[in-house]
Amino acid sequence: MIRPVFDSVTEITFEEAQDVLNYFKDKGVEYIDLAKNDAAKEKVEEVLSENPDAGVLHYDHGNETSWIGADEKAVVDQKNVGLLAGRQCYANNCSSAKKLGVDAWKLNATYWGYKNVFVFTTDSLEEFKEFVNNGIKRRVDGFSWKECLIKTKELANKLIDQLIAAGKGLAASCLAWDRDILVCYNAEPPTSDCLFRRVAIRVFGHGVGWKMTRTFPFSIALFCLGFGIALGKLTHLFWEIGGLEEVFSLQGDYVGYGLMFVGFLLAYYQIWSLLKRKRGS
Amino acid sequence: MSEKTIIKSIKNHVNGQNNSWNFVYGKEILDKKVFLQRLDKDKKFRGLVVNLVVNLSVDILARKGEK
Repeated sequence: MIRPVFDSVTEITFEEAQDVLNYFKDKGVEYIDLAKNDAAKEKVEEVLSENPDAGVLHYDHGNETSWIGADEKAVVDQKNVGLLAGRQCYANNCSSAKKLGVDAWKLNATYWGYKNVFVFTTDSLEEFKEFVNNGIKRRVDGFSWKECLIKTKELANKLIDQLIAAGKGLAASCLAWDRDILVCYNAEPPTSDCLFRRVAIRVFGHGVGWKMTRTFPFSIALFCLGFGIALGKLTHLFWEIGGLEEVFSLQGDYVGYGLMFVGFLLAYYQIWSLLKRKRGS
Repeated sequence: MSEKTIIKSIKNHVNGQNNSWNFVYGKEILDKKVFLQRLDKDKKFRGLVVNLVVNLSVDILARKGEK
């Protein structure tokens, strides 16, 4: 459990984390508490390296690419995201599911977090605490991450109705927002705002689509352009020699180009299969 | 309903809260006074709060409609 304190918001998240640790104690779950000044980068890296199979919880500020630690600097970010590989990650912080969570998921981690800024009002701290801690508590109870996500969203709906009935409309609005930005990668795969990424996911699936970089469409475009220019030049040459009859007759060159094209497809199929297998393993 | 009407309702709602009420947006903690000031002066913030309220209305309609 990583739970630094350095401002009034982190005092609240610290108490929320304490509620989870009390639950762990009741249920006999072992944990290491990196509280306050212990929640610094060196200490976090040391503990995670020494406990490669442990799950990790972070209760504090965050952003799209990092978790913030005791000295208000990142304790986990895209540079040391490898520390989260294969782990169960529970991030009660702002926005980290947007990029850091996706990076961790690519490394076979399960990532529970929020893909935008978390909002709340201080008139309903108990309700917000119940909401943010529900996922990990249900996980301890033995539910799958998918079930934990469903149960937490159902709990949010119940709490929203209670807050409205209590005349706390703005708190209910905040909770509805937080419910909508809550994700659990593995219970559900990440989604993307990028059109090209969405096309890649649609065509190749989540495992491969999320691994592709800009180089992939660029390489395909280069190949098609080069192949088209070369084939165009060749057919033009045939046309000059014998007109359309020569162009449409069976030429050895066409067989060569055909073999090149099939070879290209097979090579990409091989890469795609390897990536898919790696994700599945 | 116009944005002006929604803002008026939000202001009334916040004015009805006690003085320890705070709105927390990520790292920012806004007390009643600052919240109301930002609502008047910060267009982006106003859009966010209106969006929160409108989304809740849509959510209630959608969820109650499912039942």
